[in-house]
Amino acid sequence: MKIFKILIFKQAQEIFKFNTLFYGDKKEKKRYLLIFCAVVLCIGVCGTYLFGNMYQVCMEFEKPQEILEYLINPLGLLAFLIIFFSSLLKGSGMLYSDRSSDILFSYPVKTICIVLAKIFFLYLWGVIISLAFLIIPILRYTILLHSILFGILDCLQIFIFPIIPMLLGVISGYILYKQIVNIYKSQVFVRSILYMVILFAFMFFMFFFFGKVDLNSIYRHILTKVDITYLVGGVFFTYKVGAALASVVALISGTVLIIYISKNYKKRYINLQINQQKGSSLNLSFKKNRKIYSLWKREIKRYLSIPIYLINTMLGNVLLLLFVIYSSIASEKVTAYFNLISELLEIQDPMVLYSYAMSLMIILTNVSYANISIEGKNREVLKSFPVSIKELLTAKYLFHLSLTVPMICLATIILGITYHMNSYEYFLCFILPLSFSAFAGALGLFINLLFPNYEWENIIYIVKQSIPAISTICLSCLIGVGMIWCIIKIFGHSIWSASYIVACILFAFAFLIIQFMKKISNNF
Amino acid sequence: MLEIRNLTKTYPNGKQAVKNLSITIEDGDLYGFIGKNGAGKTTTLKACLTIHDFDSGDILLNGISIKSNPIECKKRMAYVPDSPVLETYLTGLQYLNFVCDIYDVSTHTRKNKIIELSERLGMKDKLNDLIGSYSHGMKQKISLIGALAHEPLLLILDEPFVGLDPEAFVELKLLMKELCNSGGSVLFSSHILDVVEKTCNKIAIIQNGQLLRCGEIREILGTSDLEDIFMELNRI
Repeated sequence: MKIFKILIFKQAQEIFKFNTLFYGDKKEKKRYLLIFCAVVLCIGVCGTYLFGNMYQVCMEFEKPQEILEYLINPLGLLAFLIIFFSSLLKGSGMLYSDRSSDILFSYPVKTICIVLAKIFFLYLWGVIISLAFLIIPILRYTILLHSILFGILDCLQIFIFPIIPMLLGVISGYILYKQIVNIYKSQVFVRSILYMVILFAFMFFMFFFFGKVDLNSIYRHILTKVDITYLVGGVFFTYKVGAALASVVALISGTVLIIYISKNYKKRYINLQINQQKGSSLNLSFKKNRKIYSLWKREIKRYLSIPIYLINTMLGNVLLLLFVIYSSIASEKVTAYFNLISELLEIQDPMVLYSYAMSLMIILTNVSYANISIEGKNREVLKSFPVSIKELLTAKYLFHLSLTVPMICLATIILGITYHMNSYEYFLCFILPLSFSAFAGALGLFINLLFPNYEWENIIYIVKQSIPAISTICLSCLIGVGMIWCIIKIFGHSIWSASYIVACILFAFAFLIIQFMKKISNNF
Repeated sequence: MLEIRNLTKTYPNGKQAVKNLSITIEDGDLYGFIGKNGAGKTTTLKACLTIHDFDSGDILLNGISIKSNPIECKKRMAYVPDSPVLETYLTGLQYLNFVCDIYDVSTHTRKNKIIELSERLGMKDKLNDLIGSYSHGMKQKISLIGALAHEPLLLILDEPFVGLDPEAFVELKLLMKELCNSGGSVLFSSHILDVVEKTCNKIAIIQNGQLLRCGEIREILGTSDLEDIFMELNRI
């Protein structure tokens, strides 16, 4: 038990990083406190909202059977699924990809103790989910039943409830993780492509099919046609003997599953660490490339090998692709919609709206705001090379443009053909999104150079949560929308010329920002 | 070759890492740089490549100041850090080609050098593997091949022997000597005093950012060995 506590404490330190608060420098402490307060505030607001709503809904029911049927059962099923899927995604990582297990195996500690310590916080997460979804319905159910004893038992059962979905999730997660590791080892870009396809499919579904899905009727169908009474909640949270039996079965199954995971843990962990890469061929290529091209190629390879980086910065391209597909399939609907907007905004020629839509979408594909920080610890080696900051920034800027320009070209050609654009319209559809992308890219690079962070531990931080990430997206969207608003409202009478002028202004801004970047190049 | 003149470096937290340090490395020198942890060795080496800025003093490579013309200086130098931080998403060969592109090495030269060095360091069969799958020692070897592939005049190594297998350990010593014999120079930091004593012709001992002793190893050692001298100097 003592060792278990020590391991739990270590795990807590890893997850919550509270040592930063006690031993970090002033800057780190400040950042930690800021993040801590933001998280507490978010949890507080979301929790209050959830519990408030749940309370109101629960008060609508007057019969305990209704609470069980319409709330505890479906919410129990939902909690079960959330716990299962979060364990599937997180549990395998906690157990099998954490390199600290190497050193833990060398300690005189039983494997089961290591496994329990590693999944303890996952279990805690499961308990939080169960509490969030079930505590209020169960309390209301107990009050309506006038049975305090069963109420207490039901509350205790919340702590048993997450065991099975969590352990099943961990076991399934291992199978999934093993497959992904094998794919990743055979080809480094496969994972990124897979994520990209999933993102595209998700967006495609959300845009084209989600609106047609009637969640209300699905919910009713589940409640009426599928008998879930004995699936989850109905077994655990009733005042019948079955509930106690279910808890005992859950505890026994949980113990069996824990033993199963522990027995295989060491073997599976080591198998995953062993390099399973197939013997590579000895076809060695020594082709010489220009310095800038080599730096650019390195950026592309890095981008494709980090799925989180890719899917967080590809939104604009994905949206634009969806827009192009939809415009090609349902051109009349899009035309009608744009005509409606142009009437509302009093725009004489609705064709101009296509270039605006493209511009606002493409601005969301921006890799430059994380592109300097992403060098991280590699920065020192890069600085030892005879590469000037100008060459480095050029390669990074070209990399940004190489992601957006082909997409802009493709979209312009397809939209141009679909809507029979003339050369004037064609050119604006190309030049305006290009100017937006050029401006956003330069702005991102500039802000990243101004506020670099080379000490990141998790790439998510620089891609999603850093100052450059947030400020670049907000600023570029604000400026983009602001510019278009100005064109429509102030220069509506000569909208085409004004759009071309805005494109020129954005190019000029981009150029000025790049020139100014040289002055702060010492930050790299 | 390399002249470090009155180098002083203070970190933003106020810690003075290097104080008024001056060293001269001639052509053909195999220069050992030793000192305790936190003595200022890595800071000095990084300053030579402008990885770190410095507050005062200057560093000259063949008379060219690293401050005023860093790119020209770095074209003739190569650096291997203490822990090899490499691009894990590239294969060994892709990384080496990238380094060669940066140093503008011709196809013919890079082919010969990469094949020769990878054979000597036992990495030829691993060149098409991802760096992410390499062990620490293999990463170190790839770093060394990258550093030597463009035939630098000055090779700067920070703890180069850490993680190397015995064969590569011996090969690296030979490679350093070969570079010095061909007119180049090597400056490396190490805690393995025995290696420094046996391979270097000059050494510098540093403590708390200040130079304690530097010059020809024979003159510094006299009849004692480096271990005794080092312990004695650090006790003062």
